[in-house]
Amino acid sequence: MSLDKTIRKATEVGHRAAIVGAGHTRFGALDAGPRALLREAIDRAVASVDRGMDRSRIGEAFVATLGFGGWQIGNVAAVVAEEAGLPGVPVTRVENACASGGFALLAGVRAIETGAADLVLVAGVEKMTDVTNARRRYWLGVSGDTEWERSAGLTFAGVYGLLASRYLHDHPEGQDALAAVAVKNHENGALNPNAHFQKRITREDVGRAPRVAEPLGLYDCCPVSDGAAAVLLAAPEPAKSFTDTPVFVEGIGAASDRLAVQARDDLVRFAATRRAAEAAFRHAPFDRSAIALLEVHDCFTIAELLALEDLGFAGPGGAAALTLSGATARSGRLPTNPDGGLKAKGHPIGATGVSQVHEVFLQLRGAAGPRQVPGAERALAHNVGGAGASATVALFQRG
Amino acid sequence: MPPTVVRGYVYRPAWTLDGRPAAGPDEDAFTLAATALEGLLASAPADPLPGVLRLVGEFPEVSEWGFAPLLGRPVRVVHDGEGPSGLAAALRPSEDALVVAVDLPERGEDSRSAEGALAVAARLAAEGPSGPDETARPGTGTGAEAALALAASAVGGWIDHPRRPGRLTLDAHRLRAAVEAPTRVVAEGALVPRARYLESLPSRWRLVAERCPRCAATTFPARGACARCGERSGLVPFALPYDGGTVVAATAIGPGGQPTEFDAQVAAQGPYGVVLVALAPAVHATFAVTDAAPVRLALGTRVGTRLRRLYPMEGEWRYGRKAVPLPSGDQPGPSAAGGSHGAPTQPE
Repeated sequence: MSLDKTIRKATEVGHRAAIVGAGHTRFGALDAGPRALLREAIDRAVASVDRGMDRSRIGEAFVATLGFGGWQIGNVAAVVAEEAGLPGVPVTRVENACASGGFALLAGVRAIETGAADLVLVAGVEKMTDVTNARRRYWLGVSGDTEWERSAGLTFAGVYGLLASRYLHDHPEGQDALAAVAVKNHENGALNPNAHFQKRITREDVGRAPRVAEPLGLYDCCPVSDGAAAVLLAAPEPAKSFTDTPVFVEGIGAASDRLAVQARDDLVRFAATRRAAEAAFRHAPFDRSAIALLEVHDCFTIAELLALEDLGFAGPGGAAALTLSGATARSGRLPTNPDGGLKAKGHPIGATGVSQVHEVFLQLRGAAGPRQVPGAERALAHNVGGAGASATVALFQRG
Repeated sequence: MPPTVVRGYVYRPAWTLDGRPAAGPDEDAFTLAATALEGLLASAPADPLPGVLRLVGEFPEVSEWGFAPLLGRPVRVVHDGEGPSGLAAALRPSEDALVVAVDLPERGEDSRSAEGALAVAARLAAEGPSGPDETARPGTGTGAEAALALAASAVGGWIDHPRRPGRLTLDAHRLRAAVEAPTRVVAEGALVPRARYLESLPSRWRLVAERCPRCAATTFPARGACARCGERSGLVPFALPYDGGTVVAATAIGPGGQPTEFDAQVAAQGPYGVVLVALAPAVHATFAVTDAAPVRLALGTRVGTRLRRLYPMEGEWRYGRKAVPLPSGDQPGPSAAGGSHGAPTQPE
């Protein structure tokens, strides 16, 4: 099967790690620098542990960051050890573009699974608004195919614009669905006090916005945000000493694809997402029908439609109808991005994958406040690097 | 012995300035010459080609080395200067050569090199061979153009490249701003260092792909390994057709959506198109769109690709191919430049 031949073998783990704490900063254009953001997210994660936690028990840490703008592009690990108060603890920096957070989670889960550590910190951070507009666009481009696609004039908006043009050509009803994704995610973001954008928008707003990369306009794009998030993973036994309601990682998969979209056979399917999802579900004790909510990588509105299809919740072109039916709204049968997603919550690159897990932790424990999905017990988080060049899918269940 | 010309090809840019052909903002003498060369070769493949390329006109530095990677074979480049005297030198009867003459009058160059070449062609067609002093006679060209002559032993035909209806226009001030300003800009782009740029020229300029001997998959750009099965030995390089693509995805990049190295272009010209093109079954390549209005092409549009300036980096222009929509349906017949010996085949 060509999918198997073209995609590197997915990383698969099946052993359970428990999330026992999660912390999050505000996302947006913030005064705080990356050190302060990291410290705040980590402190909040530690403070969120139900029965308290002595952070000296943390045996290993992983930090996801692109090093946007050149900030501590080398050795950010030492910064984490300092800010987290973890002297001597090994910290590994994970950089897989926008999927850095998802891959940091994967690394943390492995550390638990192998017994390397009983308690692991996974953090993500990005500071993106402290550089000039020109430098920002430079850094937003470095994770794509710089040698070919970029020299044709593409940034990620342009790459996703190409994908959207193909999707809409094949499925014309997708145009309305793109706007519906933006409206829905802003609706959710309006209920999230950490979100970059906390205001509702209309489909007319989406249509009137300036075109960035046709058919995508400004409101089809996630913002450039600062922020950090952190989660604490524990092995099943020690988890019991921290909380009665951990959230277990029941399956996690990851995969890579060719970097350039032009090198792929299929323009409107991300093989990396499909492979990662396959791997995650293979080990989970439940199937797609049990999923109560999704956190998917909606860096552009088209990406949410592609994700719903690649993750197996809709057939080819089916995500448009699914979205327009209201199924992906918070009150629908498949709530998607209840925290506002990258689109409204914001997308501080390294923090995003970890932020998704934070939302899952809140939702599955019934602690998401006004945006709570009632009774949610199982969830999926999907993180993408580049335009589908790398992806992780993680499945969670309340313990 | 007087100069003789067996074949010629005239490329006039799609843009106009005061009604005259004008080079687009991403064209220069090198790209005009490249397009004329490709037009000539496509219209009437010659084998063997002369190993000497004689340049007449003002050419940028890339012309010293750029024609060999463009043609995919060794070529000795001789620069014969400008205008009638340069053309006379280039058309020396003692040596078979590819002669390319370029005029860019809107850039302040008034060398009348291509115009002279056209005049020679016109006279040769009408009267037969005579002396090189005749090169000063006025021709039919008054704007930017590249005239390419394959000098050899007999008078032959000249053809004009097919034009599309609805020519593009630029006002002189905006054109100059677009062309000249970027040369002073140091691009803050995701750097493609010169060494990587140079090693990728076969794929960038000639669309060289590799066919896998094991699984038969085509990998583009060529990179010494099969993208499907990973085979690394016995890969067969071949050039994809540069005039036979179909748009499978298309966008238009608005202000703010462009990489920084395209800032000057967007400021001068506004949004630009980018297309994903199927060059062969299951072989896709990404190109900026040029010589098109509107800039966002419809899916299914048939496109060719042309060598153009991409953006300035590391103190030089980087060149690569861009997509241009091909004329559809009724292509204009060949209009011989000053003669009536047009070749029956069309380059596009």
